[in-house]
Amino acid sequence: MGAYTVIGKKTPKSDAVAKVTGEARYATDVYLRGMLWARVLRSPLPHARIVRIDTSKARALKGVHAVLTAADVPDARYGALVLDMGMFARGKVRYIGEAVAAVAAVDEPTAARAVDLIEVEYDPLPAVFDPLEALAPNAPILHEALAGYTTLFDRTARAMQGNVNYQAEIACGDVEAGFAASDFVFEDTYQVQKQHPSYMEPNSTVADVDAEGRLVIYNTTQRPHINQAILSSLLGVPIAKIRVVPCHVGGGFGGKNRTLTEPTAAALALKTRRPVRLTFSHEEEFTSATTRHGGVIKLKTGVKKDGTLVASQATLYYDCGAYAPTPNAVWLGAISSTGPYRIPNVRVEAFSIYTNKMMSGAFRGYGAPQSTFARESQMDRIARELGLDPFELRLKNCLVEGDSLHTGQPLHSVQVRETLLKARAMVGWKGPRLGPNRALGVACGIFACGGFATSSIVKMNMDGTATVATGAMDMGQGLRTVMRQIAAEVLGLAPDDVTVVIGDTDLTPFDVGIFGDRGTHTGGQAVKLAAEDARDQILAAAAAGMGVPAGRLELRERKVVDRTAPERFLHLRDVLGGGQYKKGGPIIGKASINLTETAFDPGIVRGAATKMFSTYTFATHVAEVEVDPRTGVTKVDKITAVHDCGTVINPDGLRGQIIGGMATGLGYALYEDVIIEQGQVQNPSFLECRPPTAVDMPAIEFATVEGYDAKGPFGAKGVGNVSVINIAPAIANAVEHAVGARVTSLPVTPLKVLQALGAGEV
Amino acid sequence: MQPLPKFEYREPGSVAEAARLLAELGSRAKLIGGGTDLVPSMRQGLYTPAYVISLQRIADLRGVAWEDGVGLRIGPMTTLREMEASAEARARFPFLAAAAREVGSPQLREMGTVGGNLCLDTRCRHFNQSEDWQDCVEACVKRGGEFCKASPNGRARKCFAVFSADLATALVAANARVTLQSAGGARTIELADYYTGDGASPTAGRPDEVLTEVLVPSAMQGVLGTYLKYRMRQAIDYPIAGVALTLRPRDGRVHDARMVVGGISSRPVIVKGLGALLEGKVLDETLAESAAKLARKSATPLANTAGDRAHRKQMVYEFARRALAEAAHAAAGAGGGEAR
Amino acid sequence: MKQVVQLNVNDAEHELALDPSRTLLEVLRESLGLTGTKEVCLLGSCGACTVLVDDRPVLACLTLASACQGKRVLTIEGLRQGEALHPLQQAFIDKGAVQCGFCTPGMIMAGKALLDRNPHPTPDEARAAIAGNLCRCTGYEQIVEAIVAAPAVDEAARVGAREGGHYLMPDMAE
Repeated sequence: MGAYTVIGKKTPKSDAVAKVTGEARYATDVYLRGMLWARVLRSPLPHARIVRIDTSKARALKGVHAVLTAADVPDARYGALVLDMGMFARGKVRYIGEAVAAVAAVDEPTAARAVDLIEVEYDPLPAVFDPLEALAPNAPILHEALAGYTTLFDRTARAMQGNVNYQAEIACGDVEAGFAASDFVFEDTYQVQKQHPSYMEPNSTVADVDAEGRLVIYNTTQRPHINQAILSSLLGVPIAKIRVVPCHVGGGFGGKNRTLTEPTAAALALKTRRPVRLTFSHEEEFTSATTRHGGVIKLKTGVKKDGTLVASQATLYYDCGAYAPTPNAVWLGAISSTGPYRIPNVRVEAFSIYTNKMMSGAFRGYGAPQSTFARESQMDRIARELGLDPFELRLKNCLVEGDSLHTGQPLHSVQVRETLLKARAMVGWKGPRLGPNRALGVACGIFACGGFATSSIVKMNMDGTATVATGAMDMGQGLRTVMRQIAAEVLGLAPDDVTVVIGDTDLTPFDVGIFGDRGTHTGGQAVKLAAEDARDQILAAAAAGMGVPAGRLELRERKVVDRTAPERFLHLRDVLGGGQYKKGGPIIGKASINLTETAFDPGIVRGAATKMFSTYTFATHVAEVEVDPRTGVTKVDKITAVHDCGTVINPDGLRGQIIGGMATGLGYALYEDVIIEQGQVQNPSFLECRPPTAVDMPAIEFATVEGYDAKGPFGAKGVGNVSVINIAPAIANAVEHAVGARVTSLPVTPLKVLQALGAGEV
Repeated sequence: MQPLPKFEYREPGSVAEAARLLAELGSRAKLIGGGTDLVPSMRQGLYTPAYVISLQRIADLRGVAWEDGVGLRIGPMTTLREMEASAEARARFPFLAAAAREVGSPQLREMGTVGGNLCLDTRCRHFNQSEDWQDCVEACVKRGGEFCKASPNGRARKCFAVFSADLATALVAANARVTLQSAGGARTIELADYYTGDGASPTAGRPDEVLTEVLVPSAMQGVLGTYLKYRMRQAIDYPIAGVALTLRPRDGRVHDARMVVGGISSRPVIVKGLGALLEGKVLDETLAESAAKLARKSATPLANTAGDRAHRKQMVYEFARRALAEAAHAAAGAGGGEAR
Repeated sequence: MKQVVQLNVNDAEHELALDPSRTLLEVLRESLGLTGTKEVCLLGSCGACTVLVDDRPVLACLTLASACQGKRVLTIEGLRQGEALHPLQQAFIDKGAVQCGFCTPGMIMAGKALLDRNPHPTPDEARAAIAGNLCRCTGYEQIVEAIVAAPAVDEAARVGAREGGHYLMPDMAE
């Protein structure tokens, strides 16, 4: 680690002024001249055949410019691993809230009236709402043609059948022999709920057709380039004819790693040749967007008397709803299901299962909060039954540098032990009990970080400043500023000297989308490499002018400086302004990388959804709770968080993102649940789904441990996901230590605590 | 954004003018105070009044004042924030100011009014949903359908939506009275009698009446009071259960005890027999336990909100017990008679 | 039937012919182009549309525009005085209280309402003042810090210096 000028230094967000003044433009702030308003007709039934759709009355309504159904758009499907979803329901509907038709009209009331005038005749079908029931041989089948769908993973290993749309299996060592060699075997079943991402900004797109006939999409997204590709395949329009211009994103958290409003708005714009706006209502966010996967996790762990973990068998049943926009969640869940522990014999079976419910998709933690809740809850059970200290049990088994994960992936930059030790010291650990009804609970987490394809361009300007172009979106977490810092550090500039152009598919090179802690790590690494490319060109150009070998030159303080004689320097503006007209031409740095290049060993992993992730992040969280044994109410007084995030690039940004993740974890642990009865969401609002408020937050103590990831920029890793995943088990563990109530399903409601205490009526 | 259903808007400058308007428009009109209850309901299409009549310009309807021999007079257009900050309320009936503070969020208290809280519409997970949501199900009785889905077996023809106003529950415990004025004259009734228990039509106010005053009688001076709210989040949420208690400690004994439970039924429920049980007795733990059991018995939560019914009932018991314990403690501290 | 309504928004007088069913939020965003005030839940349960009406923090989504006749409305766009940010805006930047920014205008207006009444709030008072404003990004901590720090930013601005460690190039003076 070097001494940095910009990296690790307080650097205000580059878009903060625009955001505190209300000037930042989000997709919902785009109003174009002549803009039409779209509205979607949605299925009122969880499962039904569409017998007939009559749009004639809607079309006849004054002010209506277009009405579209599946019959009006190409029969194309999209998805992450399984291409199962079209723009509109075709032939049948599979969940309440599924798009059946859409209208574009002069204003919203007209669009709403037109939607009401569309007549749809349905023939109801039996529906299934529980993922385990959906596995039964006689269960209603959602996608009869599943076997014929295009898939983007190795399905030869695992045939898709029934309602299972994706399946993975990990097997290392000999799990049966492991159990036989264990002194104790623990078997538990855990249940987890659907949680809504609750980004504040609704999904929204304004689609326009420009003078050249190109589609221009103003939207809110984590993946502009993938949007472009999906729009192309759904609409039959060449990629070159589509420009995606993401606006500021009002929160994504994975929920905007989706393509929800874009295709409909685009199809209507193409049809009407007018700008069309489609914004989800608050209710549509809760019925027709995506949530975290709910599901069931069965966990069986064999352990020696001394606490050494010997074998683990996990079965993950994730409920993906009626379509599978990201069944990869269960793959990530499978990876995190061992926790950050060394277990020689492991078997994991992971299923993504269709049910007639709203879709599950990506959300912060992405498959791992579920399996981590199971793993870390069971770790505490093991500690208790073996009479071991919860920290000691974890320290005894935790992964260390050079270990391999159960998937066979060798690990680097592993500081989980350090996070445990530091957290233990910070809370002054003397065991979990603090007093009557008060206790601490600890949980660790591991999450995949970085990978996949990205690229960046660094353009040097005549005044010595730089413009960075990246397709890696800033969804509000502050990536613009991180990119600016990275380029500034490499180029010897101040952050303000760097302009970051982000997302616009006409101006930025490809990025696959922001997920899996890859923004700073992988997107940032591409910016660093592109900046270094530019730097090397600058040094070569200056070397000729200064008569000094390029190897002796460096960039600092907006100058090219002779390292051996700092009084000899050229101003960057002179090299790039006057200089670049003389020889060699303007300077542009570029980088293209793919940090997910190694395939898993098919002898260990079958049906892998990805190649190996670049690295892993680790964290230890300790929750301090007070439980009222008479009401069952859990009050979290404090959370201590210690993260292994490699080099810190922006300290305020890091802290903010981690505390935000903890708040989401707190909501997951205690309050939030998308309640679905007979396929209908019962609580489709913030009011009833209850994301935590400012007065629900505990005190926070936060620290990092020193680390360095060789593949991340300046050694940095991500933090977006790991900050969420182990909050719920830390709280559940603390609740048990406080009052003896073990709750094995989320959220940990007062009722469940009382039931676990065996408290009936007085 | 999707606009509200259209209506005409009126801002009468006096109670008399408001009464005249109501006499003319009757049930085609809805009164609006702060709008925090009516506007979301209109947004969901629950109500589509032809006229919305705002009381905001009627200065007489605002303010909290003490009048010797009469009591604490609260103008119904007093905002909940003004109520929670009112020096008179805090000095004489601090539990009422505290109950106002339990409502919603700072902005909702800034907008919401005391009268609006008293007239808060009953809520139900089957009723408070959008028209799109309702299109997926059969209408409940409050939306013009046949049956109440929250009722046992879902076959009752009466609506069981839940009354969840915090301050109103406390004011019933405070023996408040309300004055209702129409073009034909004024009447004053006990606040407790203002509630019908019918979720579809929760108050006894007629469509031509304006609520013009809330009075906590001067005889209530010196009572001890408390309001406890059970909810998931510490802000925004409606009560899962709210328990209000008033009593008068004298010579170490309890007099005139009254407990009211909100968030459970279609009206604030006065716990029957509690006053008689406690009258003239020393409020010890055993007695408090018996009284809390009475509260639990009076609570019959139905499936009108998310949350387990047995648990909600149990929480009524628990919060009743706490309210009694708090009162016993305060009574001991007060040495008998002083307002807390 | 439309009614003519006089609104004072950010010190500018507007005379608008409005359908009475229009909310203040619709008028701000769609008639006046003031899109800094955000539209989220429309049910009063998120705080994103918080503005000040006669100095009181209210939810624009639940406020009828007609009811604001003759009142003073202050939105996030009216907070800045020329180039100078309001101390609370500066504090949000300095404390890293801004992530996606969608809750930020409502947060700042709720925070300003607090500071107008209580110029030196404690962290708990700040937390209570924003209890009706949801934020999914920050976990609220840095927002609370910003509200508490705003008076110091104000003070610093008055003595001509600015708090917060903005990165400065060593040779920036040249």
